[in-house]
Amino acid sequence: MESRPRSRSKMNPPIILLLLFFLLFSILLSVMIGSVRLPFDLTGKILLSHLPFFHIEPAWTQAQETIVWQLRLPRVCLALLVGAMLSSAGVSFQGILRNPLADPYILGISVGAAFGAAASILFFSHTAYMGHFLSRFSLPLFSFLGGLLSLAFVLTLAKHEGQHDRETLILAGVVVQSLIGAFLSFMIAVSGQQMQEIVFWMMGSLANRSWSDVALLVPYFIIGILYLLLQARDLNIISLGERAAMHLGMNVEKKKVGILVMGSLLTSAAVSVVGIIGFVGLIVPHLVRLVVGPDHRVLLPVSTLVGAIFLLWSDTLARTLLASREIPIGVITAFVGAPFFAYLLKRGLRRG
Amino acid sequence: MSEFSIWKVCHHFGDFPVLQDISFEIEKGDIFGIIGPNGSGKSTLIRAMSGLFTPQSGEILLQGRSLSQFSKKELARCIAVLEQEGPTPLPFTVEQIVAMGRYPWLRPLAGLGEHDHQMIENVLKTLKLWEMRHQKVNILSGGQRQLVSLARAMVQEPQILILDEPTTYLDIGHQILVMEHVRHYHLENNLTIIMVLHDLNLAGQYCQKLLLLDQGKVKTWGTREDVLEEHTLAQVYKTDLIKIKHPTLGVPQFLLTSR
Repeated sequence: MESRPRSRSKMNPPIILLLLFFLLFSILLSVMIGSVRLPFDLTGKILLSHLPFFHIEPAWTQAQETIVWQLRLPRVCLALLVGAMLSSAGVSFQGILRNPLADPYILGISVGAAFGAAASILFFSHTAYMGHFLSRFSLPLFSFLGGLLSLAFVLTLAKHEGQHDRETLILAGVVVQSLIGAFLSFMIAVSGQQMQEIVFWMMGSLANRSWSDVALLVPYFIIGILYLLLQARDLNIISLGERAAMHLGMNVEKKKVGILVMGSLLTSAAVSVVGIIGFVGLIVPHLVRLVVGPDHRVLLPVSTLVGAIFLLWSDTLARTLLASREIPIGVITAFVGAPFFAYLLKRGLRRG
Repeated sequence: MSEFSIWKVCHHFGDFPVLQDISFEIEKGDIFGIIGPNGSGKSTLIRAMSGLFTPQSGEILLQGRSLSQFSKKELARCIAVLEQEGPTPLPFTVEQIVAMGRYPWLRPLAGLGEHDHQMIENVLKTLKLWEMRHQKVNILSGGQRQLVSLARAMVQEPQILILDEPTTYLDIGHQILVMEHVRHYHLENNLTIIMVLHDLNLAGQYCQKLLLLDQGKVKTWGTREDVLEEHTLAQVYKTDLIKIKHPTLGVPQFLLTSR
């Protein structure tokens, strides 16, 4: 029996193993770096001591333990989760809408979420000292609901004779974004002293987050990624064109809405915890596609990993580049992402 | 029993009637051509016949059953459709694109089995695409891409193959190449082939039966000798043409005359 060509799927495991290895290495490195620099072996030991089956005698201070386990690691995990969620959502949006500018925010989720967050900040920070306590829980909830509300708005607006045309979806996204954006601007204008808080939230940040924030995202991450991975082959079929997919027996409308809703759930969940972080969901899928090709069975898992690593390093830079204060993470993702993207674009164009 | 029975089908886009009272039949094993000027409703008709939408009135029976009773998957196992242009020029390999034709036969999440791989290999070899199976379709020419599409339709193992203007963007060499492959495929599998054609000469050479559409209505349908009639065609296409007999094949052919 001659060996059958199995296209790219053969080179799939090595790439993923390599990325997983780099991911672990990045976690270790990122936990070491910070205002208090920790030695490599100590960091490794503290991390390992928390895993089952490893019994390491603590030879470190309580402060070091706290820095690693309570301050840095949750933030590292959060960066990984958010990066993975945004770039896998980006892959699915680009796959369904087949538009190079598609990113997780294209259906208005970001503005909806910002609107929800602003509403939460305005309503709850007034209520005396209970305010901060309340807004800690209400803010993620409100922005999550805001994101989903704007998605529902876009889907309803774009529906015509039971179908969602992809160009109409994008235009509906623009309409909803400008409308909610106007409301948002109005709210910021009348907000007074909370203005800074709202604007800061909109820039996105992973500072001062804890394990509870990580725990909040894990279920969305698992359900969302699993669902999307199971759709990888169907996303390939859809990239042939919607009509071709219908001729192959796919219920394209159902599949399209299902994938868009799941991508939006991932995005809304991520945004509700860390605010709006741009560029990850746009450039990571493009970058990975240029390297591994259009097959979603490879593109999706690789983008998920690359997105996680990319955001982890962006956040590490954001918190360490300036000694005195943090840089908004969106600034880093754009600074790193845009030139790299420009380079890939040029290279891709020259190759024709 | 006819393979396809179309009975009094009507459809409107807004106020505009695209299909009006269309009735005809296609027998199993026919090569059936649909001709007519631009905007006569050819594409709309085959979209209705391939189940992309349900016409507002009338009935389409496929193998004696109403088309709307078929599930999407059932329909895809019965009908394959080749569109005007080849596959979207994405950097998928030829083999990856062709393998997608097995989609209606795969169980959810199951990969390609031995039979699927054998099928794909046979089709690729028949269409002489085997050597270029690892090439990306975005660097292929339009003619080669159309062959890739044909291969994808063939691995779908259809009982009916619908081709929507398969030769529109091709040079004459590739036009004949695609049509000859279709004819061989027809001979070997005795399936039903339905094609929309712009080129009356190709229609005359390859189709045993024809349907002539004009402004959403059936002008005539029947054998090629009946339908390829000078005066009717001149009237429908609003241009003068001269009918001749093909010197070697003996089928009706047409010359265009400038005014």
